[in-house]
Amino acid sequence: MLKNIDFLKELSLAFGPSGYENEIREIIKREIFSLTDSITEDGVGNLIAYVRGERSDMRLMISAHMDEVGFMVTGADGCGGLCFTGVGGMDARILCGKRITIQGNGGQLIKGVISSKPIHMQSRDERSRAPKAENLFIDIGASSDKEALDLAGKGSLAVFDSDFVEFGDGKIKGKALDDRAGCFIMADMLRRIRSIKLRPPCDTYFVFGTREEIGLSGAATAASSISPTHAMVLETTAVSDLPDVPAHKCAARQGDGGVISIIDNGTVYSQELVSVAIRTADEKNIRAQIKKYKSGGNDSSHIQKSGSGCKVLALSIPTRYLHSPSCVIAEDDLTAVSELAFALLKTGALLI
Amino acid sequence: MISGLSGMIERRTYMTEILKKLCRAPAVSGFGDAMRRTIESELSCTGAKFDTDPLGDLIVTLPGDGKGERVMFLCPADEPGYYITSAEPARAYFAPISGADPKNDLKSDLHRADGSVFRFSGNEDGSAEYIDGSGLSPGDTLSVCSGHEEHDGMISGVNVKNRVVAATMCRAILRLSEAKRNRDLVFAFCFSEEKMHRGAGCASEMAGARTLIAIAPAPIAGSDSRISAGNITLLIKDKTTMYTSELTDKIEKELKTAGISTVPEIRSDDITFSSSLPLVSCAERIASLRIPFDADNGIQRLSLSDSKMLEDAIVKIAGSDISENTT
Repeated sequence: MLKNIDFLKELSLAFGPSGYENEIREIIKREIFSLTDSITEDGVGNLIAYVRGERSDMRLMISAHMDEVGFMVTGADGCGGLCFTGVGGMDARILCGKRITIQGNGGQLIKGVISSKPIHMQSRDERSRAPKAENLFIDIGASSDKEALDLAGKGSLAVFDSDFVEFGDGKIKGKALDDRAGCFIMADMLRRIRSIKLRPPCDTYFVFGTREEIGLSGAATAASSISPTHAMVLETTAVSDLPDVPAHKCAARQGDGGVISIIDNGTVYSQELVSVAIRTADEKNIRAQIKKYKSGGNDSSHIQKSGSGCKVLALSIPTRYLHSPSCVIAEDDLTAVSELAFALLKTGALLI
Repeated sequence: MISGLSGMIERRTYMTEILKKLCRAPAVSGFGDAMRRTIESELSCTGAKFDTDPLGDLIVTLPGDGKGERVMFLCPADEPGYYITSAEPARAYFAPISGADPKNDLKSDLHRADGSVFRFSGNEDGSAEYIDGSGLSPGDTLSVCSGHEEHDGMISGVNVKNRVVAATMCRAILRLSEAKRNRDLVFAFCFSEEKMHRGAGCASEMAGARTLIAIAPAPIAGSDSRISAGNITLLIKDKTTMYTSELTDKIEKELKTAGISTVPEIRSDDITFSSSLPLVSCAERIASLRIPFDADNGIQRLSLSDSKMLEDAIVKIAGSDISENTT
């Protein structure tokens, strides 16, 4: 069983849509404050943990994002329901009936359910089409618009309300594992650095980033201030190892280890770093796989283009049902990414 | 360099030969190694200093005597293409990069950097599902460019526009390397423009020049009627960028004295190669000089005489006091 799984559970359950990562930041700060040479917060809320290295002419940025997809209240629907818009990309087909938690006007957490016109009231045409987010609403049990908006006015943020569950053969289900699992790995790396008194080969910045789900602006800001020469982004990536998906469209397989990206919709990863990661995984006998399908994107695209450019590597945990209340990862994959990331840090292999 | 008719013939021969080499070097966006090596080899006789930035852009510096201010010229040198996502013994699956369209390229040969040639397997509906042949691996990239043709003073071919610009800049560098210079001249060949639109910015940050001049192709389609073969253009504005008017005016006047006329170009709806340059922290003056091209059925066409005009413009600008007293 995964060490310190309660910490991952705490991260998963915490409230932190893009731009409102305060709770996550406090949890992480509490966990790592004694493990670094300094901790700073920048203007957009990135938490940056610095560990002094053997050399300072190179700067390694290791990054994972704290935020999660969520919802923002945009008004009331005339019947006491709350209209909303998505914060980050979500598939509207999965939303109906899902439990959510809204941070209300006074900061209190309010339970709600995403609702739509009942199926027996829908026309044949409506039933055959995927619902649109603008036709859905959040039911918080209010009996009027005023009551609803007094509790959670325009601009209130919400996230999925979901249990954290260990199940099956080493699987974990929870919300926001994208990318709290990456944050979990970074905290674990800091713990290991301290426990073996490791001085990394170069100055190393662990960036617990903000706002990845809405424009990658947190990582862009951090990269701008750190000016990294090298970066390693720890992420989750969608797998499609499911029935009816042809093998060549299956980006990655759960259980086959950490996913090394060569290219995605926003980034061409450093071919040198990709080769180093593959070689290191091989040498250390760590399970790893190449991402087989060009899809998605992450903070790498902004980090790579910062300043005079930066060599970037992305290691991802293969994850089912991303951007849903039930992200599913395998403990073994999480461990594989953690081991590979730490091996790359410890050996300085990335510094080419 | 030779002047007059023999000079024209010499230039034409040079362009033919360098374009042959550049067309054999795949440069799918983000994967420009083969093209970078080709250009480095081409310019190895100049005594220039070569650097590569973290995105893989090639930066060529001709050192000066330090009296003048450093000026930087940048051009795109990459192309759309295909990236292999997974491979089986007899077939490979792909993802298009930077707008490559498998439907257009269905009958085309696909070239890998080692010279191997592959083909799409087409469906009856005109779509392409996979690439035939063994030996491909995930991470390989394939270019559609199979060479260029020259007819009636026009250069044509698939994905040749950036190659013509790169060839023109190579030729200008060769000329400039023969002359004494009072300033550092820096040239960047950018290999991630078609996908990431920031290579030019990253290379500029690395070079640290305050005067940046983009050299790029300009599509004739969708532009005003003044932009056609027979002119080179000076970009005034694009979707995100106002170019430095003082610098642009000065370049226009300077080129006029050399008998090179330019046409002002406004692209209010387009992001261009040079759109990332205002983000460069050291940039104080930016301009963009462009060579028109048209495209039909995926075949791009550029005028050889426009390329000569562009080359002369680069040489003229590099030798002038264009960067001084301009803010």
